[in-house]
Amino acid sequence: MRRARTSDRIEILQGTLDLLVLRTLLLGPLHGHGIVKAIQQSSDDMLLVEHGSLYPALHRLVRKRWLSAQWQTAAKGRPMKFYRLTPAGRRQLAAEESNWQQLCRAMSLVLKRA
Amino acid sequence: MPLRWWESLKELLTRARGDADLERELQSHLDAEADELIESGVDPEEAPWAARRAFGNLTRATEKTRESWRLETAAASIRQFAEGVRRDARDAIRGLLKQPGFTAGAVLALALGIGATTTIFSVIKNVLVDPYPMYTHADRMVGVAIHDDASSEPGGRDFLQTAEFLDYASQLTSFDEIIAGTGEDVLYTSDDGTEQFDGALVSGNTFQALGIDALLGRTITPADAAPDAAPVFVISYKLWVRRFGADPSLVGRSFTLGGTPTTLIGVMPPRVSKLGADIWRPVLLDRANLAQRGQFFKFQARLKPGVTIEQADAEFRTVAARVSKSYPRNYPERFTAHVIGFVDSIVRGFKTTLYTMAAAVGLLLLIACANVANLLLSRATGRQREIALRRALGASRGRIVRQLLVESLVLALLGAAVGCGFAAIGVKALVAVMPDYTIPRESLIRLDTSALTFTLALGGVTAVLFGLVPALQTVTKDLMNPLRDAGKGTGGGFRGGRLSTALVVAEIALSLVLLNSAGLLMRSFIELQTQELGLDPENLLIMRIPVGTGRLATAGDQTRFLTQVLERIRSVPGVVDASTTVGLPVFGGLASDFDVQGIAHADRWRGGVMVCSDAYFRTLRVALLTGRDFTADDLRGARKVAIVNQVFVDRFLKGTDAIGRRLTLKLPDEHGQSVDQTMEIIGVAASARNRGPSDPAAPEAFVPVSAAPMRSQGLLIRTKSTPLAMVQTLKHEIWAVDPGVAVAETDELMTFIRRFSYAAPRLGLFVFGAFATIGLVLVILGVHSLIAYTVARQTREIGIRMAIGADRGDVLRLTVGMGLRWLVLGIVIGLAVSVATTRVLASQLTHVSPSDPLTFGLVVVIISIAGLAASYIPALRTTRVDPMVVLRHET
Repeated sequence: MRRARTSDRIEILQGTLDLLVLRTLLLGPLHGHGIVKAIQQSSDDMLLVEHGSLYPALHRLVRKRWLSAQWQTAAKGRPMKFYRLTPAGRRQLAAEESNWQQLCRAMSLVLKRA
Repeated sequence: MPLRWWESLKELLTRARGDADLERELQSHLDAEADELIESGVDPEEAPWAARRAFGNLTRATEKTRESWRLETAAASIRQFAEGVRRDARDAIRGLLKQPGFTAGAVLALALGIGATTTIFSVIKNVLVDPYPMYTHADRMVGVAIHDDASSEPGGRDFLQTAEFLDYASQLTSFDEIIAGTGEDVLYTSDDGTEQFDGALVSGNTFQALGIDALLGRTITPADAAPDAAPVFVISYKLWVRRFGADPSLVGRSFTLGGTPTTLIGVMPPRVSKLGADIWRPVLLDRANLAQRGQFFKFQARLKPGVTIEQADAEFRTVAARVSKSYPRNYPERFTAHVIGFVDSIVRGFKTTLYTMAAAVGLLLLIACANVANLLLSRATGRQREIALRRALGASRGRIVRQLLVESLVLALLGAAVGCGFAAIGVKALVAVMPDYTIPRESLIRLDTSALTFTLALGGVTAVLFGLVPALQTVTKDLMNPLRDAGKGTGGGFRGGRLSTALVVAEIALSLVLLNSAGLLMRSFIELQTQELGLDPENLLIMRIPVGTGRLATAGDQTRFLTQVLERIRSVPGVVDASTTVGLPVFGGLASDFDVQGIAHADRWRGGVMVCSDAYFRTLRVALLTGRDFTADDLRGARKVAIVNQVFVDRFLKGTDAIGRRLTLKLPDEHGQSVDQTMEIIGVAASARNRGPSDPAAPEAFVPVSAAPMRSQGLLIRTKSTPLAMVQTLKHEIWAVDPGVAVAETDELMTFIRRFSYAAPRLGLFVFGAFATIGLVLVILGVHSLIAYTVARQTREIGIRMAIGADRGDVLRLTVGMGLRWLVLGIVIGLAVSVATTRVLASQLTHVSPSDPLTFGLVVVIISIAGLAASYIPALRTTRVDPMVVLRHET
């Protein structure tokens, strides 16, 4: 609550990316590269996540105990770090989805009015 | 689930590993992207670069990820932790305030334990461990003691006669510096008259050997002690400030001391009062100096580097065996020569007193800790349900442990804060009652930080330990049982926890030991004060007059002066009688060997000699059993006469007639040398104490003032009432005879007796009494609170019992019975420990045995009454409760 305004802005963007990542992983664990591709595909190439901003987000989500990370062997035998949702992460996803839907509804009401 | 902050901490420590991990991860991402690009047709050589470009700024990504670790982990975790602790602390304080009885009891117990222990340990640190921080070489300084094996008193002679001193100095090789010193009265003559200051003669190397520089100017050096050197002196800081207003221009000025113009060359730093003096003058020990022949100087020395005190002691003993043969009169038949530590040589017997006080305060601290522990245990057991409930609702073990830890720490901090206050008061109080001459004058007793830290740590550890133990018990045990138990409210009958019982029994036992010690000291002190002195000490005034120089040098001059003064004083209204004395009545004067013509004796006859005027016995109200007192003729020196006391007659003359016998004894001559004089015995006086108020009287001979010149004479005046009110008048009479005379120590005899003989036992009594009282209070609180808690936990069962027919008496019997069991156990253990340990006090108990049954019996009665009362009251309160209310109420 005492944070600066700029970090508030960053937080909104962070929140959106977090939500995308959490949703993507609902269907199963993925590694970082896979997550980028998945978001791209499922948004019909509308959302292009900057690869560079994904990793801070992933690590942050691990800190918050919403994701857990593990090195596993992927396709072609390459070891890659896989992320999966934790039960707490699942709960957080549900909460954020509902928040997001409320926000969308509110926004469209306001915009329609104007 | 592990605690988050724990993991964050771990990750912080393995950050290096994290960096490598991140690099691997990002590289694997790039590889995967490159593969994909190759599959979609990009040139394999180009693919890695394309992947990089697609990625964006790799460095920034790495940095930002690492940044997020730092920010999120460290800051957030710490912030969270701090918030949690702050919340816990607030809750803890609120919780403590809601239970004022418990809080007050625990804080008080902790504070008393901390305060008392810090006080005693501060004294020990400042008096025994490091009383001379201003002397750089104090750790290498030693003193000597020539101990008479026949005497039970510790210590021994540390003053050596001039030639004797020089013999030792020339034969000992263990020391690199040997210093000599002796006290003297310094008579300072100015336009305002003559003042007397406490002075000392010190060898030129004294301050250099001790390792101390002057505050202003310079100290005395060996050059100042040379025979042709100009007379100089240094002054103490205390005197410089008090008498001369800290005037810096004083240095270099000339003062007339003892009739000689002497230059002040320096001011010593504060706290320096070597030999109890305010003025120090240099002296050179010289065999050829006649004036020094009869003087004695204190022998102190500095060990050579690498020489141990044991080695010096062995050498000293060998040399002493040789030297003692040249000075047979200075050595008892059997003696032991010691080299002892600097501090030991001054503190002597008081060391044991201090150690017993330390032991006593240790007991008190244990009682206090046991009390606090019991209080915490009781409280925690009562909260078992609350903790179980919180755990069932999801609080993690770590959170609960943290909360209990914070609670204990808050309590410990409160106790510590109050304890510091108690310690500060305690130190001031102790300094106020500290008797003279028991501790180094230069030691400054004040709160010692290391002692404080130690006791704070101890108190804190106790609080934390006993606050946590039950918590740890509950967090590991099954959750359901405490919750289920709440409904039934039984803890298995009227049993306290085993640990609690052990603690309260231990408290009772330890308190018994303290009470016994205090009781024994009190009885001994009372006995001491009721000892028959053999004279009437009321309304007796002593006024000391330094003599031995100038107009009052010879015995004849002194006699004439004193006779004139006595004549004037005896005619002052309000004066009942007056005489003179040397030393003090009750404590004695000079020491001498005796010989009576016609009686052979193999052993040495030693005893005391009092040099006095006529009416000595009349003034003291001591009976003259046979013969007569001194007359004016005797005082003029016409005949050499002496009076002896009854002990003398019994021991040496075996009860035969004393009058007319010829007695030879040693008296100082005009050079201060001890010479034989033969007197005719003309009277026998009743025996009065002459070795202090508690030791039996020694054989004593009384000679008139004309027999020997003294360095100090005392006026002995009995007044009708309040002697101190007459001091000014009496001083005028003295100055009417000779205005240049200085009057030194002036006080009532009883005050001197109290200062020298009663003060030390009174201190012991004060300290032990305080500890015993505190201990008893703590025990009462402990028993009371333990019974109260036990009963409160089992209110439901009491209600049931009363509902099915038990009357109040039955319930009371159960609870008081519990208390009684603790008491009996505690008393038995306490008595056993007391018998074993009060022996340690034996040196301080002069007239009572360490296992005195009367004292022990009385103490047992006191503790029993206190303990039973403490058990009865909470039990009474509970039995007043209506059983139906209890049964309906879900505790």
